[in-house]
Order: sequence, then structure tokens, then C-alpha cells
Amino acid sequence: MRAIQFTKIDFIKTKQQILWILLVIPVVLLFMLRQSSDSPMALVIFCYALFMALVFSTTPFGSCQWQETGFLLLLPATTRERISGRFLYGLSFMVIAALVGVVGMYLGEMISGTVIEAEIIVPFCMVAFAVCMVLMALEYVILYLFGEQQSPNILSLIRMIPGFVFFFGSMGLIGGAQEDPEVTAAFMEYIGGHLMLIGWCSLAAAFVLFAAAAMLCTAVTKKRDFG
Amino acid sequence: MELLEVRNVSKHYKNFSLENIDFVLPKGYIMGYVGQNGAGKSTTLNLITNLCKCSEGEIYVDGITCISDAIRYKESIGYIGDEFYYPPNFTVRNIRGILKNLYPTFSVSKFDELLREWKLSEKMKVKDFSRGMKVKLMFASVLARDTKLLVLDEATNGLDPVVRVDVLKLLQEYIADGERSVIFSTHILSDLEQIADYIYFIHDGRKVLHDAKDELLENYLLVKGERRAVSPQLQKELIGIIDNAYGFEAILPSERADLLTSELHFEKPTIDEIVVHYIKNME
Amino acid sequence: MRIIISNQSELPIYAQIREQLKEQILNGQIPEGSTLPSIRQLAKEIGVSVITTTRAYSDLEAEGFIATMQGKGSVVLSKDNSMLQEQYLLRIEDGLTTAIETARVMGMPEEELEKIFQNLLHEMQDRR
Repeated sequence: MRAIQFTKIDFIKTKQQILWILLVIPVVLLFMLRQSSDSPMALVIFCYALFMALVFSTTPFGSCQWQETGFLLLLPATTRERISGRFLYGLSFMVIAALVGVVGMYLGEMISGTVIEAEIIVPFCMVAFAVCMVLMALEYVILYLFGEQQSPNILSLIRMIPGFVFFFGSMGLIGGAQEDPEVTAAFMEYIGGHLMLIGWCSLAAAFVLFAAAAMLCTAVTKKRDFG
Repeated sequence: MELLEVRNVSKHYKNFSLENIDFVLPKGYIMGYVGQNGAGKSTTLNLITNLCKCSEGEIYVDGITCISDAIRYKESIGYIGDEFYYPPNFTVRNIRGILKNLYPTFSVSKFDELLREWKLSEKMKVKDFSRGMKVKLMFASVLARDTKLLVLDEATNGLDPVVRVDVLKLLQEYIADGERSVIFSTHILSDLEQIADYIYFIHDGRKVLHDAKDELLENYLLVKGERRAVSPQLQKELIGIIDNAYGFEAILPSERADLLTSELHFEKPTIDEIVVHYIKNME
Repeated sequence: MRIIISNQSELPIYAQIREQLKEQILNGQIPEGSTLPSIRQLAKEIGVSVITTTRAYSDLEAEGFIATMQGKGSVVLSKDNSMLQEQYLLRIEDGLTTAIETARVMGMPEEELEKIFQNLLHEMQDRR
């Protein structure tokens, strides 16, 4: 259970950012509400929350100064526990963001009055979450590949790209789905009754990839030398 | 009984290597690890704390290696560096929480007692601490749990004299029961010289001298005088001659004191002086 | 017990400790049978290394001033043990030798020196 302690360290280190993310979401929400009422608000809000999580979940890497990394390495724990702690941090961060997103969704639906059926929105959120997890795992792997001390330098680059890819990608998909209703309808019909199944499958696949990424990072870091 | 055993340790980097460091530190003693900046002091200490891995050789702390039992190995070491290592936005309370959960022997009451004694505020962020307070906090977090070996990497740098004296007392109390040891690195020895039992002196990644401090001090004389008073025989024995406009200064092994003439002045050296002349000798 | 370490002294630190303890044992300031602080305690108190105090104590032991017993610490031995007697004798001889040498330097006859010695003895007796 030592891994949890490392998660805790990361949370203490980044708590200012968490507050920030929580504050920003309602602001953006209001801003978006005023813009239009016919776009699928709820989905946009959820994706936006996940996007923020993707960007900010890499913050602990950035605040890793040399001596701070040393402090983590001195603590009595194995490399695996230390890295599991970091991955756990990323995951919990995303869960928090998803919860904020769900709250935002309800708010959005309440205000705009457009309600999307749960059969569609739940699997959508599941898939979005799964995609985010994979992207986050990818970010972490890249950061660990560069090493815990080198990461601040490349962090600004890495933290933005996957987040933007995800956000604009999903926005594009939502937009595309609206533009071309026939194709969407055909696609929906094709996967029709299996929506929930797809949701679960993508989540499961994401978890497997996530765990694999953690193991890969451990293997890479174990061989690395500090300093 | 040895507490710290460093066995034929080498570490190779692209442009620096530490070669064949080999020593033991018995229980209940203090070792000063001396050398210039870049001589390999921190590298050695990082190998001992297992921040870096040895290219060759083994290190035992209280009989165990980091490979045989990494957790116990790390638990038995307390490390204090010249730079503060807790994340800047941590409060004392955060640190206590983390340490309590990670170290089975961490005593909250001992920690709080030390905080009170040193007047360290619990609510302040550690980044607002002064250098002296930061060092004391690192000491508190290390002394509040069971450790066998204290590793100090230039820990007294930038401390005012009053705090330095406090640190000396702490180190002596630490080893007082004869079960625990201290290894500290420094490039200014004067303040820690008195309490060190052993001196290990490295230059350019290699051992130069290693002995009990009292032996070292007795084995050498600091000789001063005019160059013309130096016989060719004496010239050969002098170590690290430093000339100035009116004379020279050098170190001489005490057993060759018979070569000294009344024209030359000699006195007992400090460890710093021995180190300076040895380094001069190697240039 | 009183120990003052001087960095200016020509004597190494362990010898300073040894000499000061010896002095105080000989003049009775540290009474026989009393226990000295442990090696580690003394090192901590006066801020010197453990090896330094160890050496001072082992010198004192070798000269017969103290005996170190496991678990009991170092005890000041009684003044009638033979090694100490010898130390005392040495001190007396030292003092008298200086007196004789000084007398020789100023060319004082031996009878006069003896007279001074006798006078001093009487004076001391009277004072008691």
C-alpha cells in the first residue's frame, strides 16, 4: 500500500492545480451555455473536463526538481510502488475530472433543456474515458522514457498534444456525426444494441493498456540511474 | 562491528569516474569524507544511499545490501543533503503524514518534540523556511525514526555558526550509544574536524588518504621557512610545496622530522592544511 | 573535573585530555575510586571525536591511573598501586632535578641547597 503514499505526495504537490481545474469548469460551462443551445452541450462539457485532466495530470512530472526526485527515491519503496503511485494519481485525477464532467453535464442539460438518452451518453462517456486513459498512459510512458528529471523540459510539449488531439478529435467526431446524420444513423444502427458492450470493452482495454504502460515504465526506470 | 562497508566500489560516467573506493566505518563512529568540489564525494554518498547504482563493488549497511533487501536498507539510512529535498509547497504536517505512513519506526511524538524544540511552525510551507530551519526540519524527519547510518552531503553549507554547533551536538548525540554511525562529506572541514573519528580524502575519484583523524594529524608536520634551508634530502620528502615571496609551506611525514634544521619552523597541521598540500602535490 | 581543549596548544587533543586528567588525579581533585564519564559521554561533552577520548583513556590506563571495567566505566585507581607510585616518584625527582640544576647554574654550594630544602620542609610542617 506504499503506492498510495506516492499518490498522496503527488496530490499534495499539485493541489493548487486541482482547485484551479474545479474553478475553471463552471466558468467555461457558463460561457458555453450562452453560445449555443443546439449543440450536444453535455458531451462537450464531459470531453472538456477530461481534456483538462489530460493536460494537468502530468503536473507532478513538472515539479520534479532534481532534489525532489531524490526525495522520492530515498523513501523506502520499490520502483514499482513509486510508479504505480504516479499512475494511480493520474487515474484518480481523471476520475475526479469525470465526476466534475458528469455534474457539469447535468447542469448543462438542466439549463439547456436538451436531454440525451442515457443509452447513448453513458457508453459515449465510457469510450471517451477509455480513450483518455490510453492517451494519459502514452504521456506517462513518454515522460518516464525521458527520465524523471529530464521531464520538466519536455513536459510543456507533451502535456498539450494528447489533450488537444483528444479534445478536437472528439469535437470533430461530434460535429461530423451531426453533419452527416445518415451515416451516423447507419453506424448507430449497426452497433445499435451493443452500445453498452462497446463502452465496457473499451474501458477494459484501456485498463489493460494502462497497467501495461505502468509496467513498461517500471522496467525502464529500474534500469535508469539517478543523477 | 562494521556498520558501513564500501567494498571496491567504482562508478563510471562519461567524463568522470570513481575508482575503487574501499573502506569500512565501525559502529559508533563519525567519518569525514573530504575532497574538492567534483572529487566524487556526492557520487559516493549517492551510491551509499542507492540513488545511483554501483558499476562495480558492493555496499553493506548494517550487514545488508540494497539488492538483498531494498526496503530495510533504505529504512536504515537517514539522508540530509545540502539542498532541501521536500517539495516546496509541503507543510510540516504533510511531511509528517507521509513519513508516518512510509516508515514503520517513525515516531510522531519524537518528531513533534523536535519541532517544538527548534521552533518550526507546522503550518508554514517549507519553501518559506530559512536555510537553518530547512536543515533542522530534515534532521527532525530523520531523527524521529530508527536509523543506523546518517549520510550528510555538505549539510552544514551555508549555515550560521550557531546552527553548525547545534548540528555537531546532534551528530555526537546520534552516535553516543555506540550503535549508529555518521558519514559526512564536506569541502570545508574546519567545523566538523573536531568530531570526526576517521577521514577519507578523495581527489579526482580516487582515494588519497584514509586514516583515523588523530593518526593523520600526528603523522604530518606543517613546515614553513625559506627554500634555501631545505636540503635536497628534505626536498624529496616534502609534500605539496607552496611558495610565496618570502618562503614556502609544505607538509612533511612526521617520521622524517629528523631532516628538519633549526632554520625551519614546524607545527602541527590541520586536516585542511594536509588536504591543501596533498592536492597541490598532485597537480 | 575540568577539561579545557586549546587549539593553540602544541599537544594533540588526546594528550591535552590525558594530561589534564592526570594532573587532577595527582592533586586529588578527582578522588580515587571515583568514576570518570564514559568515553562517548566525554567526547560528546567536550566536542571531540570518540577515538580521541578513547586514546586519552587508554593512555591513562596504561600509566596506571584508571582501570576500565566492562559495564562499570573507568574508575580512578588508588594512589598506592605501584604504577602510580612510580609516577609520583618521577614527579618528585623531576622537581628536585630542576632545583639542583638551577642551583648549579648560579653556582650555589650543595650545603646551601640542602639548607633551603630543610627550611622549606620545616616551614611546610609549621603551616600544618
